[in-house]
Amino acid sequence: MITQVSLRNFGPFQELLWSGLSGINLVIGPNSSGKTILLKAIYSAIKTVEEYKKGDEFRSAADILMNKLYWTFQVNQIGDLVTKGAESGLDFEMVYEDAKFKYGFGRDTTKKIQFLESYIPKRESNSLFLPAKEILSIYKDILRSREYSNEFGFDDTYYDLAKAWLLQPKGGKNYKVFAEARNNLEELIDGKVEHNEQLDKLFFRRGKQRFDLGVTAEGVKKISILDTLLGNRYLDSQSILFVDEVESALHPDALMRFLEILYNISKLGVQIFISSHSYFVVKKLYLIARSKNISIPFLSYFENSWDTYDLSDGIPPNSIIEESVTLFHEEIDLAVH
Amino acid sequence: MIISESGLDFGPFQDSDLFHVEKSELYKKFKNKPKVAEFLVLHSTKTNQLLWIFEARTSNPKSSNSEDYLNYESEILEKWRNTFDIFVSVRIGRNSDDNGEVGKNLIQSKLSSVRFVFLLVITNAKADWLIPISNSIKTKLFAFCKIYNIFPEHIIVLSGDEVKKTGLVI
Repeated sequence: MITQVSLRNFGPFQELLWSGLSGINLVIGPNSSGKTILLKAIYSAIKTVEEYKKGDEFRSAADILMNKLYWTFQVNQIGDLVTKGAESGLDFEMVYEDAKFKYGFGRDTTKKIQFLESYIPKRESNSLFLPAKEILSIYKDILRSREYSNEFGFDDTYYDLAKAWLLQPKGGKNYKVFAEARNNLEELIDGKVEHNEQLDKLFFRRGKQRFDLGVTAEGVKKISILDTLLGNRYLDSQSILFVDEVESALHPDALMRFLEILYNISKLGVQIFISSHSYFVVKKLYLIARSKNISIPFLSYFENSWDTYDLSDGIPPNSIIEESVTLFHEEIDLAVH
Repeated sequence: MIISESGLDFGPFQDSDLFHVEKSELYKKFKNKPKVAEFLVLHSTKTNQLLWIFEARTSNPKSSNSEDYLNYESEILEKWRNTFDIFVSVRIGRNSDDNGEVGKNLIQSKLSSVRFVFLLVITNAKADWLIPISNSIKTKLFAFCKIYNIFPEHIIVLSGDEVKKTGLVI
């Protein structure tokens, strides 16, 4: 489990230390505050650890990381990730099971990461990033643009997900928790996505009915992706899952059930990082933290600063709750105007 | 005892569980009377000893604008905090309960483990207004709850209909 991350001069983060991380971790903040950048930064680091010396991989960790940062953030040169106007370079540090992974580089860095130290042992598990948009409708475009054209457009979070999703299921027994989660996910969308090999086309099946993917709801496709990944063994009990804007395309009722499924997966050992703009997500995770007596670290950008809390202590003042109160004030002002 | 406030009858409560703070001589002796909530009462569940601090209102702020709401909210927070402080001041001996107005079970309650519950009842509240009021109040008391280890779910805002489900109203 990742227990701590710190960033210095990394994009919008001049200085950030997020420690005491747990099974589920939530980050909130307005648009452009850096939520996705943070998740991608952690994702790039843990994927580097996972890809280093995997199979026939021969590249150094620094080269893998350089490649990962370049294709995940899709900047002209990775030095562009250094905070604009910063007097020194970028530093990133992550603690995983008491072992550190850290790197740093300057603004002029193009191809070579100047400093990288990793004490994290080889990791067999796979981590995965679920972006805000579903990929089922576009996975062929993602693969084409990355593997044939080698163009910017779909970053590594999309590319890695498309590749993972395409893996054929392995034999053997799945984790009971994953099997239960799959049942719950399929119950939630009342069906499942199937691949028709003859047509090389995806369909959504509900009972005996079959629907084209084009007329299938976004939320259904989003949930189907996780269903597949829990079934094809790409994810295991030590995987780390990054869920960007978890609420996108989900009705609050489905969202609540989806969060419960994520909580059940986290109990098995899967670590989950979630970013959100949603009042319902904050409230639901707060209730899970309180009722299950678990820690849910909460990173919130509010009034021009990043602050760390734990939802087991309650919901601190934050931009989402503040907005709900602002709407309330608008409504009572409306009553007299 | 039954206490009638804001159109509801709260109780019945044993005198030994109750401190009707705003009617007490102990409170009346303060020269510049701090604003206080209606009463404190021990009303426990099977597993937990709960000490409720009650404030009741008939409706949402009367003159409806956001400035008035903020005044309304800050008055409630002030009343809760003052009531909490007066009770604790008696318990730590900074004020004496000469007339025995603080129920003996309240005096004997174990301060380290009793669970304080701050309840605002707005008898005729619009249901959809309770959520933002509750959110706003909870976040304003975030630090206070953390300092005293008061559970965040124990800051409660209820309508008259909902409070009837708690068994605190006849």
